[in-house]
Amino acid sequence: MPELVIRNLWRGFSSGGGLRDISFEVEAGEFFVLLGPSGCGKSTLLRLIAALDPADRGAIDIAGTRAGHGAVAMVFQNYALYPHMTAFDNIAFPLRLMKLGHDEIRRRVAACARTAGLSIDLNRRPAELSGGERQRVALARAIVREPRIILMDEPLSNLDAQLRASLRVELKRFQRDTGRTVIYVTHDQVEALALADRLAVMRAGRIEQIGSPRALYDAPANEFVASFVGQPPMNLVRARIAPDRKSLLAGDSVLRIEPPAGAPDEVILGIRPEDLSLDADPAKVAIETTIERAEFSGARFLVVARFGSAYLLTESVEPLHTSERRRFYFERSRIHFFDASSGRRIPWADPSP
Amino acid sequence: MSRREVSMPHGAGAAFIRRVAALAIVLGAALPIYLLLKQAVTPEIESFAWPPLWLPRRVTAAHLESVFTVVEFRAAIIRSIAVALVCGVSATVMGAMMGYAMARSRWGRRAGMTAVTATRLLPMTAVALPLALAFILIGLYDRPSAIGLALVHSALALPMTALVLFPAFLAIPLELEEAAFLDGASPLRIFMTIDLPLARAPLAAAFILSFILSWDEFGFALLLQVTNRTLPPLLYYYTVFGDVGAASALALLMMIPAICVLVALRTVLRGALMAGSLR
Repeated sequence: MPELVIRNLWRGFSSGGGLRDISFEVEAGEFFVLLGPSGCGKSTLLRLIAALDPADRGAIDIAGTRAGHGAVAMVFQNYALYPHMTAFDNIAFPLRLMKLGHDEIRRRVAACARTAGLSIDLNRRPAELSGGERQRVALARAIVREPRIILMDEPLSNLDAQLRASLRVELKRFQRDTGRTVIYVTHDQVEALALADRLAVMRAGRIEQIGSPRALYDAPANEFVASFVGQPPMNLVRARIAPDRKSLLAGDSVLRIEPPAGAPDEVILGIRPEDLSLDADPAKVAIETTIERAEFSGARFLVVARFGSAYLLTESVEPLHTSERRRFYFERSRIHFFDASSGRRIPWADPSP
Repeated sequence: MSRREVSMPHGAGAAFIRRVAALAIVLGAALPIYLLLKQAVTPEIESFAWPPLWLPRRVTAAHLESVFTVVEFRAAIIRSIAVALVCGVSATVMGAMMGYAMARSRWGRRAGMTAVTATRLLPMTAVALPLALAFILIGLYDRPSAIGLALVHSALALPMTALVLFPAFLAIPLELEEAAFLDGASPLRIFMTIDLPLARAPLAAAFILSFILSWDEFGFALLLQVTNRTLPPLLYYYTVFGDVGAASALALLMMIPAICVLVALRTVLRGALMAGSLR
């Protein structure tokens, strides 16, 4: 039974933006990520679920009950810890409102602090804590009331990169240990792919695609999802289908790829950087490129190659030189087709393995 | 060359001149206070001596004693403290509510700003007489408790406390209130447990300012408490009717809260600045 059901949710702003006809379900115990660029409505949606703002139309059902406080807790981007209270009082605040006994509060705060990985003196105030510690206090406060759903609004975005990576791991462990449903908002697709059981990619107030990270990565529903999910992003190249429908014209080249049935004349080809290879293979499609730039990035070089008027991003182990002519190879089945006018994915007729 | 001429004079000579100028300003401000002190502790005959005496010849504690022994003085002191306390508390409480409404709702801000400026437009003297009449009718006029005057002072102080507290509440991130809402707190609870404690320093400043406003207020006190006086009109009467010694002693006494406030406000305001980082 789904923990959260959202049906035909609308929310408008006079300034534009807002949400347009959002519907989805989240299962109990799921780590659900809302991913999208800033201004796409993901935080707006989170606030509606938290009942901080009203919806214009539509329904939000949380495990059969209406949205409202009690069922959900939230971890804010800036943690929103009460600066005049100690860490203990911050975590105990929801319990005091429930008028629980002194010992009961003490016991539950200690338990939640442990779950959140807090090993500090709880008599300190937020101003005396590090970013990571504040984060953990906020997590402990969110679970102390045992809500059905925990909402998280970019909780890692205020931390430095190193801490973010380690806290990401901890966050996932935390969610698994508590078994709570988490709805997590982020604009960082690396974070989204790493954390999510399922994710929804949003743009301009709409959900573009919902699915597992693997599903979104392997079969993006449209050009936007294709470019947004994956790092480095998928290469997108405009192409025309040749009149004989046996090959494609892209840049100045003719590619021996038979387009999927039902493709319009104008398409966008998508190819992930990691699917491009320098190893010659007659079974694969070859494209002729000019190396534009190769940036050293540790184990590999990040390569920008020019193909016609388009630029392709890829990675290589060997150093490449600017203006060098190189041939890249890729498998036909790794190519994604999108309708050039609507951006929608054009599936292969028989799903290739 | 010409640039140097327009800049501040500098060098050892200029520093000396600046120091002398600063000393003159300090002396100018301190002189009346010194004279007050001298008049309070010397017999009256010295206060009216010609040429004026700069140093006291004889010292007496009679004036200072009278402040605490004369019944009229004692009653006025207690009355003034009571009125100022009532004014400080009620103006701060009401100002907190008004400032909060101004900080958290657009309608509240517009209504609050209009109310604050509109009251400033009215000349106080225009209000004083009708107010005195109304107080006579409802029995608040010249009460020994001076409760009517305390009400007037609260109303006078309210725009000021609201204006002091409005930015203080505005500075409290809305996220904190939203967090408290999700933690299960009611709006009143949020105001009491989140906003008020975080606005502690501005609340103290508002209290002190309204206390002082009432403590110094002369016009309404003169008109509304004709027999049961507070300190400012009493001081006025003693000055006018010539008891310079007692008036000076009373004036010294009236300065004490002002000095306390000056010291307290400095620490409070410094605290308010420190509390600025609420994240």
